[in-house]
Amino acid sequence: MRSSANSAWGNEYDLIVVGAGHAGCEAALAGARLGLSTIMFAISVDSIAMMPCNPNVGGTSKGHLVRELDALGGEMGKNIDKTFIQSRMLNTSKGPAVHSLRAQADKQKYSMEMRKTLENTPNLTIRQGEVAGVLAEGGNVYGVETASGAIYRGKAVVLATGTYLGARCIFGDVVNPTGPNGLQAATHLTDSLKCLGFAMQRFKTGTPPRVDARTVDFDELEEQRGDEPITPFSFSTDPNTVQKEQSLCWLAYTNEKTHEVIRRNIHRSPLFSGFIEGTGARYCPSIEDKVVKFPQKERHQIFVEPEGLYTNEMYLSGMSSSLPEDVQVEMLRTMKGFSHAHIVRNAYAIEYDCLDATQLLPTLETKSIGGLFCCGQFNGSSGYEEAAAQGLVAGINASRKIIGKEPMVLDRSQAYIGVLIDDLVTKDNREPYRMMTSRAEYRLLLRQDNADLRLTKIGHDMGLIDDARYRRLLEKESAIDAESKRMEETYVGETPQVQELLMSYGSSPLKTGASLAELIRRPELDYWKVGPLDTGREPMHVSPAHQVVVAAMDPVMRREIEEQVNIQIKYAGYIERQRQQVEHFQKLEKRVLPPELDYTQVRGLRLEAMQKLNQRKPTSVGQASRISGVSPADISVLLVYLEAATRRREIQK
Amino acid sequence: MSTIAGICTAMSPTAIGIIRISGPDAVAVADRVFRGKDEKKLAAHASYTIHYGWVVEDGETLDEVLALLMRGPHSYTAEDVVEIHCHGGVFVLQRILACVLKNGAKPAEPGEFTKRAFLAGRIDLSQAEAVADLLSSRNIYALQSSTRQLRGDLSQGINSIRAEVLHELAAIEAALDDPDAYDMDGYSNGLALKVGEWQRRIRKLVDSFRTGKLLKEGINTVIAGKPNTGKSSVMNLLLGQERSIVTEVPGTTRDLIEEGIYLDGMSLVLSDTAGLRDTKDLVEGLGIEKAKEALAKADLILLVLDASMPLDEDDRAAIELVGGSKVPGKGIAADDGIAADEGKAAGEGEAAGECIAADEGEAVGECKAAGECEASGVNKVGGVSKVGGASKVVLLANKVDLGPPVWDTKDLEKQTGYPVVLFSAKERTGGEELVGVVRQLFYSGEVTFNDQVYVTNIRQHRLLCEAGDCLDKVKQSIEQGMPEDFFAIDLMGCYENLGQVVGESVEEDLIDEIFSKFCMGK
Repeated sequence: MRSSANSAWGNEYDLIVVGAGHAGCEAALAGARLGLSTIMFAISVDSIAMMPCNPNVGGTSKGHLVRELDALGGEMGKNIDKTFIQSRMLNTSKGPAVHSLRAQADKQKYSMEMRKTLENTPNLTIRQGEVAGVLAEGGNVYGVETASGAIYRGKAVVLATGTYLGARCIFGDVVNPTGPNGLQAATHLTDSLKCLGFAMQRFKTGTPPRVDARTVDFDELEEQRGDEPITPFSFSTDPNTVQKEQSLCWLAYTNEKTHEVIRRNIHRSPLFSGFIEGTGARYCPSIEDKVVKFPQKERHQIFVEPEGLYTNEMYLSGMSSSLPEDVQVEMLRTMKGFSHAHIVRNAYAIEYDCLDATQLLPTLETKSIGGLFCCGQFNGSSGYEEAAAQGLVAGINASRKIIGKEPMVLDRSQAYIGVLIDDLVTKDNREPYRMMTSRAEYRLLLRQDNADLRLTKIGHDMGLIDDARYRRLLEKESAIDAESKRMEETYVGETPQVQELLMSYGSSPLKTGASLAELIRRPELDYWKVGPLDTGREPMHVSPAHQVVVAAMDPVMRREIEEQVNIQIKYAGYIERQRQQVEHFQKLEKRVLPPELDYTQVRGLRLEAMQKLNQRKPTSVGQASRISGVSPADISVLLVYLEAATRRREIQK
Repeated sequence: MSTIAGICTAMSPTAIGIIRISGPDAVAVADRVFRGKDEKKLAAHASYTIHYGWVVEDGETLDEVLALLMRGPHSYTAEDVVEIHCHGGVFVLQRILACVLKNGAKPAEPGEFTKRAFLAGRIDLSQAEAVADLLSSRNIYALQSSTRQLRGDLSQGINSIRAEVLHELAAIEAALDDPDAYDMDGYSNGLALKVGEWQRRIRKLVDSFRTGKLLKEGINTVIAGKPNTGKSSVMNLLLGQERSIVTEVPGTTRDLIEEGIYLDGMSLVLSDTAGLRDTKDLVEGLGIEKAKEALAKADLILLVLDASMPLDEDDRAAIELVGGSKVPGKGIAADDGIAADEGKAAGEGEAAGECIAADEGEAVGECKAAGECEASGVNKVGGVSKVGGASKVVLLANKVDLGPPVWDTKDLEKQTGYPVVLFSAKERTGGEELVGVVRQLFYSGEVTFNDQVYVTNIRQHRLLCEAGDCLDKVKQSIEQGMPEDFFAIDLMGCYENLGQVVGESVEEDLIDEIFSKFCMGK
């Protein structure tokens, strides 16, 4: 590109990661930790693991992603545990499947801690520079070229460019050709990818204004405190180390006056004037969107969250906007508590190029170019957690490809990560994709509390979870089994002590003997409430498989075990039904579709389905059934075709 | 895909017969046998046109015909279709079909046109099943029921429930994803009401299976009683002809005799049985064993008593026997519906046997050479569904021509709980009363077939039962005060099961279903 002399430098790595956001960091760490020489490119080294939007990690379903990531050996959970300033478990009034952890982060500290981890990881090189082109030959990637003309050779490349590609930031009639937070955009890579034949799309997202805390009247707002005790994100973090003083958040509301200001100025919004081309997400609307679309709503909630301990900046969650600066100030000051508020940074919308992710395999490798992996917002997702989860998967699979091992693919019944990636590579996403609990079909099995039980073994197999942590998991597993079994087998009779305890919880007295498990299953009781009836609880049983005396276990582990026993017993019926649903689901997942299958030869498929299937080449009938435009009737046709083909082959034998 | 041809009308002398040709070469094949009056090839004509002409083979005109041209995808099979409407004689039809087959078409398997329509997405699974049922309908009500299902009435009923379930699922999911914005206080009370309403609608469909099956296959009716009470005379009277051997020697009827009759709109399959009594005669004993088996499977038992003689031990034993055969069945399948159905079938051999019989009946109509396919179909339904065995009993006080009953009929009704009908096989009286009683027992007095959708298919029945089970569980969760996200698990189960009835959700087992119905892979 620029200077041919640069290409002679002969920079060679195993793995090249383009981007140093939440996806890039996980991908690079995975590669380096798996022993591959890895280089990670950042537009600015100061922006590593930057949080350009909300100052928190987790939340409904996103908290699940972080815990799964952690169980597989990712870094995000550990990093937020080191840097959070407030933590809450959401949805605790609902079932355990939808409990979700969310922590407010000190943004600066989050970024710095991650950088420290990266810089102290062997095999990992950090390089500031804009990657301008992906180099491929014969259907395989062999390196990248920077905007300055340097060529880096690599066996695999992971693209994690976030919102930087062709980025423009917009508010009112102001358009800045920058990436997030005024950082330099990446202007060349899109063209390079288009030359390689990739279909790209243009998405939009937005961020709210930040205000100076000194100009907010907090006594007019509702206070929101963190949990006590605090639950850490990482299964490897000792909860005792994270119990600390927490920052406060506040709740504010818009009002009719705010809405009136918005309505009066709506014609000046670039969304309505046509300045913005990209597609935004319906579930993450700007405040002007909300006011226009829900005119009957008298007020909208605004969460006021600190950006960190060492700054006065407050983030106004729920108030993202691309209205002009003067309108932003005016509408802000209509809100109670903000009458003289001062904006530090404007709200803005950002547009960027991203990949149509249906061009990816479930491994996150592109279908057309071997060794080229993609992850994060570049794949059309939104959110730090979604990005990090993909980053880890892309990093693991790129590494495994280099060392010649089978890729890691999680399915929809194993993890939210599986749901996320399957959705991205299968469905037509026409707006930034956000993880939601409703997207997971089997969420009672995919709880945040059992992410370690579900995935630690896989993380260990991949090589990112060390033996000690895996051993601890096995101990925990067998202790849970033993204790559950003991609950099923321990009976209590209709003694006065039992009846009295039952009555005290408004539970009907026993007519005949019952196991403790039966009692735990009663809606008004649980594992802990029946404790006084359980004479064998202290000390706990010896777990035969690992010869561990559970009673001697640290209280943290013990609490985890009790929690699992309680959930597994209490919701056994529901869990069993979900297991059956999973079995049903897996039948279609296991029906493999060979990539060479020519769908024009399958008589009876509708034209649209035939085209979609030929273009997407799904890996299984299950995946095919989730492609929009492929109907159940098409799937029936496909099943019949496969079955008939099998029978023909059998007859020929 | 090959071009197929078959005779679409009944193989009996009728005014018009139809031969259908379907497939990529349908028009070309037709052009080889059809000479249009206008001397133009069918290929030269537009779709949806009718042409007058002749079927000619080797210069010989076989018949004067109309050729209907329907090009795909807008035809029954979504392929090119030509129908030849000819005169209805069996011989003519067969000669024309032979001629068509000689000119490049393959003989259609039973149901193959429907199979192609289904695979082309022209009709959904419940509609395809309706066609299969249609083909094997035994009476006008069964026919109407299948027609309604084919028209999509069942699908409509199910889809409307599905839409409502989906709406509630969406509400729950929205609240879970955005707990700050949605308040779920009091939600479960409203949901409980809706669940109850869906249960009623599903229950109605599930219950219709019993009637639907009776419609489709007829009421399995067994005539029983001690020897020489006139059972065979009763049977003959109902049949309107002499079938069983009627003698004055007790114990003459030793084998089961089955015959279908059509009684004022109701279809009955009658079996006459050996007289029930304690006997040392080996042959007669075997007949009695068979009679007992038949009783266990009966929908309706007509227990014949001699009104001119006092009731004796054998009469009482017979009443006890039908009562005995009634106890395990009655009240469970008929009244408790969904949950009991399943639990019951597990333990009862005869229940499974009955299901097999039902399924085979279908298979025969649609697919004679099903072989292995059939077996898989049977396995699947074997344990699940059980409709028969819920015998209803009518006591026939026969021989009232000899005088009024010598015993108190009211008293007997009270003791046994069964209606008594005064009957005279000899003088042919009591038939109308019997019809009235049977209608009361099976159709609650009405023949309401006109506007109701009946589930007549075991697969559909099973899925509907499962959908109902899921709703029971939702209700339980609500009653136990579980959080809303637990409702979603079983609501989704219900939604999926209903979807499988109409083919909107893909069931992997579907493949077995398709292969058993349509003889694929040969």
